[in-house]
Amino acid sequence: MSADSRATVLLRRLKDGDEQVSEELLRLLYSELHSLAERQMRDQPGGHTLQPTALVHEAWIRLVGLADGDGWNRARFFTLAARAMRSVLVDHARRKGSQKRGGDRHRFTLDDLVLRAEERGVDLLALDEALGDLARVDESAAEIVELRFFGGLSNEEVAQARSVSTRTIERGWKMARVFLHDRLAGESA
Amino acid sequence: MSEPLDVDRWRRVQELVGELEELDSAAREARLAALGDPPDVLRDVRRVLEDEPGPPESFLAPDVFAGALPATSPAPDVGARVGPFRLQRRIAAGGMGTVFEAAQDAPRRTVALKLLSVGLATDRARRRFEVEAEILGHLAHPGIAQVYGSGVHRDEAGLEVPWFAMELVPGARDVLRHAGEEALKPGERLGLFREICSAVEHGHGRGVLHRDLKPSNLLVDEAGRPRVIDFGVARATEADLSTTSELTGSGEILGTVQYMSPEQFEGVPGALDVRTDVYSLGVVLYELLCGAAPYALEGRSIFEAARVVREVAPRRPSEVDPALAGELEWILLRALEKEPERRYASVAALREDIERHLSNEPVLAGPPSALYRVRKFVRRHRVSVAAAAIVLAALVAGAGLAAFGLVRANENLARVEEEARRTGRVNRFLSDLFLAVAPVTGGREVRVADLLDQARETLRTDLEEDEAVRANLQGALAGAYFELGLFREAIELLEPALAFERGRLGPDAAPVLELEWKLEECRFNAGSFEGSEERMVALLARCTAELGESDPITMGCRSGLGELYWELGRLPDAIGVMREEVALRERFYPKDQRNLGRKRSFLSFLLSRLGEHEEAEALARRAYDDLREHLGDDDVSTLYARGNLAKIWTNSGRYGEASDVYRGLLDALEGPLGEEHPDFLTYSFELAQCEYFLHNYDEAERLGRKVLEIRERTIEPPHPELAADLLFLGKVLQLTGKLDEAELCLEDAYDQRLELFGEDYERTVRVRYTLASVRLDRGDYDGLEEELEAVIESGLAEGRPTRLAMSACSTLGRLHLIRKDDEAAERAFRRAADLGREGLPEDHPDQLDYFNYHARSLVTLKRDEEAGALLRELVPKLETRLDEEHPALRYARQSLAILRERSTEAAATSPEAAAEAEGTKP
Repeated sequence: MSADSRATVLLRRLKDGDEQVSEELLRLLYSELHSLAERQMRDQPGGHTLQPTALVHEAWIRLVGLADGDGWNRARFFTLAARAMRSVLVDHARRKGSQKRGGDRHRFTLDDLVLRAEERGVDLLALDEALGDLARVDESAAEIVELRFFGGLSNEEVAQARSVSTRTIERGWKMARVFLHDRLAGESA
Repeated sequence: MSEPLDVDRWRRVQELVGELEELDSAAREARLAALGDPPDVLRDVRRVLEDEPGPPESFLAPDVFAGALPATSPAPDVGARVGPFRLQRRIAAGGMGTVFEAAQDAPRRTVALKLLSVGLATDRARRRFEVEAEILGHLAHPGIAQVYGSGVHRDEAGLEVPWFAMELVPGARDVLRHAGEEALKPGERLGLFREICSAVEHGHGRGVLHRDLKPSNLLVDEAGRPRVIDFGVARATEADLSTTSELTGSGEILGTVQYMSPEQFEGVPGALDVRTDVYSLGVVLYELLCGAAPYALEGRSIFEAARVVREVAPRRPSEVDPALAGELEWILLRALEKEPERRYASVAALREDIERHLSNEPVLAGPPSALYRVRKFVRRHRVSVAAAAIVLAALVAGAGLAAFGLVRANENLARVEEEARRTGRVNRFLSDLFLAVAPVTGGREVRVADLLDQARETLRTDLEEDEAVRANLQGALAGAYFELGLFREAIELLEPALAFERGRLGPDAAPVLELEWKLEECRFNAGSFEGSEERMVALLARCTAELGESDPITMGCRSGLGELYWELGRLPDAIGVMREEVALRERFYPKDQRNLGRKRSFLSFLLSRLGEHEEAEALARRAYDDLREHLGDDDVSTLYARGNLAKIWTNSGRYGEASDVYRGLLDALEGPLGEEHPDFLTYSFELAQCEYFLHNYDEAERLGRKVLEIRERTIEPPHPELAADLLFLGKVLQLTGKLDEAELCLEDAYDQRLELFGEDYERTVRVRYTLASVRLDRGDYDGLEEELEAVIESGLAEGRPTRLAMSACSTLGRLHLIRKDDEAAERAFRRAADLGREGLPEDHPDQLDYFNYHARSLVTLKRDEEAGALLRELVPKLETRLDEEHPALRYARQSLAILRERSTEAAATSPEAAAEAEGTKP
């Protein structure tokens, strides 16, 4: 079975509440995002389109197709994709920390993302850990960060994906920013 | 380590935020002052409420990933030199690139220079760009902005930016603006459009599609002459919607979506042809004539917009402007057909029809015909044997009345006949239809729809005097449209019928419930699911209460719900409902075999989709056996039930039985369907695959060739089905030893999949591997190692190694053996074995094969100890699984024999080696 219909079928089965499915979909997304990042690097050395948001959207188009989007599917898909994106980046940051930067050209693209985050003062590994802490206090706030930061969704889109008001999302986001700011400051101190 | 996490403290912060959020700032301060919480908690509450976590302000902004990379140099700007041009002024910037006014010294001229925003990283992309740019330079037409030159600008950082220099159109306005500002009359607009068509035709004549026709690419100069720009640029840079990431929500893309043909959303750029430009021109003409776009896309997401373009009929031009009714409307709708084959076959054909209209000759475009819609229905239903069985059973073999949904079940016949008798009119109407349907058994389904359209027309004009009869017939006719998959027509008929009957009989009368059910089914079949489930469930409850659980209307409503669940992807719910339906049918309507068979087939299909092969098979068999017993072997219901059974067998690996069935089925269907019918081809391909798995390669080859030959005649490459046919035939030809031909097939398949799916796609890699293995067989070793390494690499990308990666490792080992590089061979086989251990279940036959190869390569290298260990484990496993003569077992034993021989020789000098040899005995 091809990957695209696989994703569609998985999304359908997800509707039935089959939890294994979301794991499988997550794996599929992880590898898709990974290979997309590499492909983009090959095709577009300028790298100006290489953003998690763009990757996630393109993954959707490649895995599900433009035509196949009802609201539910999309919301679930982006939730999972944001999670997958987080893993891709955090895993990469971790590997990068444990390895010297090698001559493998394809790796640069993810390096770039990690690097850009670092340049703007975001340590992805620390953030990942802090998000784990946040989930213990408020799981939904942690998910909001995942969707916004890694999935590139706006507050409105997050609200839609989670079927709650934008206001609730805004509150969660503000809360998360303060929490994460302190946790990450504590880290570097 | 971070400081310990004080969960309770943060929860308190959160709680207070929720409480204080609603208050204005004064009330907030008052409340905060009154609280007894520690100051740091209150401080954090303030920080959250004011959204001020602390520096930097942009902390955690999602755009940290955006922005320029350190290594990226800025794009060339005003003042820079690009090729022989100097950039002077920025004219426009968009998703595809930036346009500058630029000057050239010799010849002295000013041009429009477009710097594209896509890079050309690979050699292939670069070559592609050069070739396309060269072709574009040869387009010379007064209506096309001349391309003066093109090239790749390389900046200091080594970034390569492709550019085009084009004729600068003085005083250019886009065509819509021009027409509006000059207040052109309809005739003038058509004239202008004709000139645009001629220009596009010129490009098509040179084999170039525009692929991005929209007003902003259709300029009109000061003198009122049109100029098409950016011809073929999309192709030259492969910057199609499917390969760009810039569709992340910008308005620009939405502006483009309006002009994109439905097939452009399929994401297979290579599959486009001139008719995609016909479509886009149709949209432009629509806007020119109507003053509005054909689809309302404002405020929609890109996905939603794509769906609308692909599925929703354009607003009828005559609704916007009644003056457009008739020919112009037909021309527009013909150009805007969703299916390319329904559109004008070329831009010239569109232009000529406009000219006919202008000179008052009859145009070729007419109202959409039923013939096409039936074809579309056949195509749509090809996907599932079960669905085809349902429809065809109703259409072809159905006993006339039942085929038209007039009679819900035999039991209901009396009631309808009663009504029918009430007026001779109805009776005649029915018998006319009935008689006319009879020839359909010959397989020409087309006539049915023609006939229905006629009937609908008659109904509209003839039966004004008796509304009750009309409502009745509307319902009946709707049923017929429904069976044909023409849901919109069905809905149009059902709505007035329902309103009338509800007024006449009250809300809970059986005919009202029935019409409601039909209407609901039509709606969700037409793709509008909103609220469907709730309404269907409620309707089923009402039917059960009013009519009883086994009333034919209740039954129909229930299986409608089953289909709805299937459509919604809720397999378990669908199965639950269909089980109930089948059980009730068996109890109350055991004699209505056709419907019982249908429902059983559908249920079995659902079950096999869920992986319940055994139950699916039992049920499919039951459906088939019963139908056969009652209706005979040759009834179409029986035939499709048999196909359904065979498919379920193929799914569970029972190729021999499936093969026999397909053969019989093909014999029976060739007459009524013809060999070009999609169902016929599907069964032929299924049969070819069965023969392949049964190792009957000659037969598989014959069938594979036949299917490919017909499909090549009926569909255009690149196409997933053609690629599948080619790959299949290539594999078969490899096995029958026709290697040259196999290579040709596979190269073709590879090119098509490359174009359809891209290089990294599993299906593309699969062809690449097969091609490599054919080259190995042919003795063509050039570059083979690199090919195989590439296959292995992409097979490892997903974490768990793929079977393809293992096969490629093992093939690589064979290659090294052939080249007498035993060390490399051993490494490759070891890798295959390791991957097999990681990625396959224990003792999988392939895994054992890899161990087998690896062991032999160790023997060759005289690494006897390792080889011995491996073989001592392997041989017993093979012995329990394979018969004595199996090549794999013999190969392994041979390896062992070599080891023994060596150790016996060595035994004379070394007692330890002799002991080792003892140990290798099985």
